[in-house]
Amino acid sequence: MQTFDYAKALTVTDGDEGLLKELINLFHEQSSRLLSEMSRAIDGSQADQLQRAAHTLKGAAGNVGAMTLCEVALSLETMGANNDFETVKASFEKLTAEIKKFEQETAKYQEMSG
Amino acid sequence: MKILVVEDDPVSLKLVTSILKKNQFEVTQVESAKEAKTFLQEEGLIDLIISDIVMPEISGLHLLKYLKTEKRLRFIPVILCTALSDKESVAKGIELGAADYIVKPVNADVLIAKVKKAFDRLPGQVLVVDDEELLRRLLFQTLGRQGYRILLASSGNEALELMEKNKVAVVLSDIEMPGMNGLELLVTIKDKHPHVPVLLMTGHGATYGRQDVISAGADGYITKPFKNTDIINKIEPFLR
Repeated sequence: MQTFDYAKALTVTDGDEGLLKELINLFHEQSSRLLSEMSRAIDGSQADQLQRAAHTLKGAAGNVGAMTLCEVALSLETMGANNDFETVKASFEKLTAEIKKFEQETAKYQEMSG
Repeated sequence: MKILVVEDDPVSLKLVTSILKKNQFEVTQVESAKEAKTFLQEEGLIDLIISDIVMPEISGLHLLKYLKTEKRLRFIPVILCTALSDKESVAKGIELGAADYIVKPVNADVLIAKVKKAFDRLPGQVLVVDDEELLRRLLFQTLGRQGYRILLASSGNEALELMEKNKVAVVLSDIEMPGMNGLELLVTIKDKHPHVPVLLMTGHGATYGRQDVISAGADGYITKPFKNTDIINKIEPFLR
């Protein structure tokens, strides 16, 4: 499982690198909003909100080749669906770290391709 | 062809919109089902809707349910967009009348193939042929409210031209028209497009009566002045 699967992301945009860059930028804007939504949901034990925000993040991540993020978001979505908050904090930390990692890797790519 | 994309995630929204635009579709994008409803109430001229399922406030399934109960919007095909894990919602969506579904992350080829298929399966249009503008406008309004897609022709020749280029589900034609009259048009249509039903309308006490029209091969006969419900009841069975 890769943090940033460039090849996979390119298949999503049908080889369009410019579009992929736009999507990645949109993803960064979107992910910080979803992170704070999820953080609030976890603090308030709001399972529905957690499920929905994790679901949206999972979908967005899949579009930009953020494969590990997809997995972690899915686990949080499932926790929300099952109203299971036992290990949610650990998963959320993992998610936050993975988003950082994804940002770093995509920053490299954005620089490389100009 | 005009497509409305409903998606709360800006990344997916951008992706789907870009793919569609690249393939020469006209796209309107909204970020919630609520915005979609407002747009459809105010504009309404949309050929296809692609909607996410999981969205805040109103879900894609609720939007679908609303569309299918609104007379004016019920024929617009809806393609649901969803995560692979969400099989239950997909099944429910198909049950509620979704035309198809597509799994995220969206693949461009799959999306375009499904959009084209949905267009192919659209119930055809109602072709209204009448030389009187007032009547064309009246029928355009009343039939439009039923959700039918409508083509208008002011003569038999124009009607035949439109039939070459468009998918027509049923023809509703006046009989007394200058040039080619409705009966001549009927004969030509039955020759060139034998599967397309033709309904003929005529004024009260006109030259041709019900018997003439039916024996000439028409699929129905409507006397003017007509009630809207008469026309709708005659057309509706051909659009199912």
